[in-house]
Amino acid sequence: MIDRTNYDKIAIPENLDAVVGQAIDEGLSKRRRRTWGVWKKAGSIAAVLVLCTVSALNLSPAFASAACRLPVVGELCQVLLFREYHTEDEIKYVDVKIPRIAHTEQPDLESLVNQEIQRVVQDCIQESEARAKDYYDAFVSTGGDPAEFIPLGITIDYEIKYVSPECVSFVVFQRETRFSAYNCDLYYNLDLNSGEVITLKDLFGKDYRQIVANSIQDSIETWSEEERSILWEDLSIPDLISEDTDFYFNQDGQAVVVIGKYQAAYGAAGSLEFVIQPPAPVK
Amino acid sequence: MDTVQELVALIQTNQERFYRIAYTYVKNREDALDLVHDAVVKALQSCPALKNPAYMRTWFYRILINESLSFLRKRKNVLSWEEIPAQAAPDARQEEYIDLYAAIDKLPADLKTVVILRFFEDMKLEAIADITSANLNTAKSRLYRALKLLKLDMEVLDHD
Repeated sequence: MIDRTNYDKIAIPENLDAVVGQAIDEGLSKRRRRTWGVWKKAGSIAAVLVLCTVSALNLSPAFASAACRLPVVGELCQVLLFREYHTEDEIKYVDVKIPRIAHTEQPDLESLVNQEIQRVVQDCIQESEARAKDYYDAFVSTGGDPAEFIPLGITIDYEIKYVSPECVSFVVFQRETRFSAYNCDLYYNLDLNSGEVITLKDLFGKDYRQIVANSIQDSIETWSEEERSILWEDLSIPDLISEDTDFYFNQDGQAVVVIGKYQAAYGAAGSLEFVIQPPAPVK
Repeated sequence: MDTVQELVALIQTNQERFYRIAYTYVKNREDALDLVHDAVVKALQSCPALKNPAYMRTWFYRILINESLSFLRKRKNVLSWEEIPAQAAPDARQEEYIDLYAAIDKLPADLKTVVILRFFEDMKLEAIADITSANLNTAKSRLYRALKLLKLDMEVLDHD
């Protein structure tokens, strides 16, 4: 009845995708703040308790050292402490949560690890800030109105993967909104008795490369043809494994190797994770 | 997939449709982009208020159309000549389309919404009633009124 050819011909602006992407980011971040508001309003006792515990741990060393002797809380508090800050200006929003190891009863180890975390996180932030500045300069020098520049969002956060009296495993995330290619995840696995960083070699011995590669190969064998087609054709798994290969311990204490985006497969696959099975004992 | 992820997917797959709807109301690129942007932010923020994900699609259309209509209300008195796009000399067939589109543009906002959703978005009258928060009979009578007006309008143009 009505010819819709012209309607379908309405030109789609090139930046529609970018505008929608930005709106999604904005909507999601506002939503998160909103849910937080609801939480607070609800006054959930559990939330308040955890909050109190975390802030008390951070505020009072005496409380912290006492609490760390308690079961459950004691295990958690080793990496529960963090430093948090937020800064913003016309070119960037920065939200940072830096984990801090404490109350492991090894002050030397603690300060070593904390300095290392601090250094790595600082590098990440500087890198992101430099990138935000580059984008801003490029935007302005090509005639963009500085007032219209959409600030780059920089977020540093962390997740605890596994905690036991012997070791702690956690990951630090670096995220930049709008440029998902610039994500960087730093994995930490610490032996709390020796104070050493745990490597795959420590776990699987001198043949670790072959053991880990075999286990990954076994996992891949169970994939369907279609799933396998995302992998690079000339993929050599042992070449991906070194002492620096990222891994963490899952909740069952198993080592999980993380192969970064593009390292083994097309970018669409993201990063790949493999639970490593120790080899069957030789008879 | 939770509701939020579902909503994000819905937005991403249909962003071009949403842009065209917004464009049909405001007739310019920047404002249409703004409208899509605002509708997306609003939808994601109020996502928890959406009780039944089955209605997500109609619900998003409603947000987008409400945004568009309130934008038009605000702009009503400041429409400038510059916003009417200059057209190159159209051939006869195209001229017909332009007449039709010009006629649609001249419809009152509530009738225009019904025409866009029914004929450009291929929606059923039930869905349109839902989106415009009207009952089915109102939607129906709006559609007939719109068609009547369009036909009259087209006839007037034909006589010129």
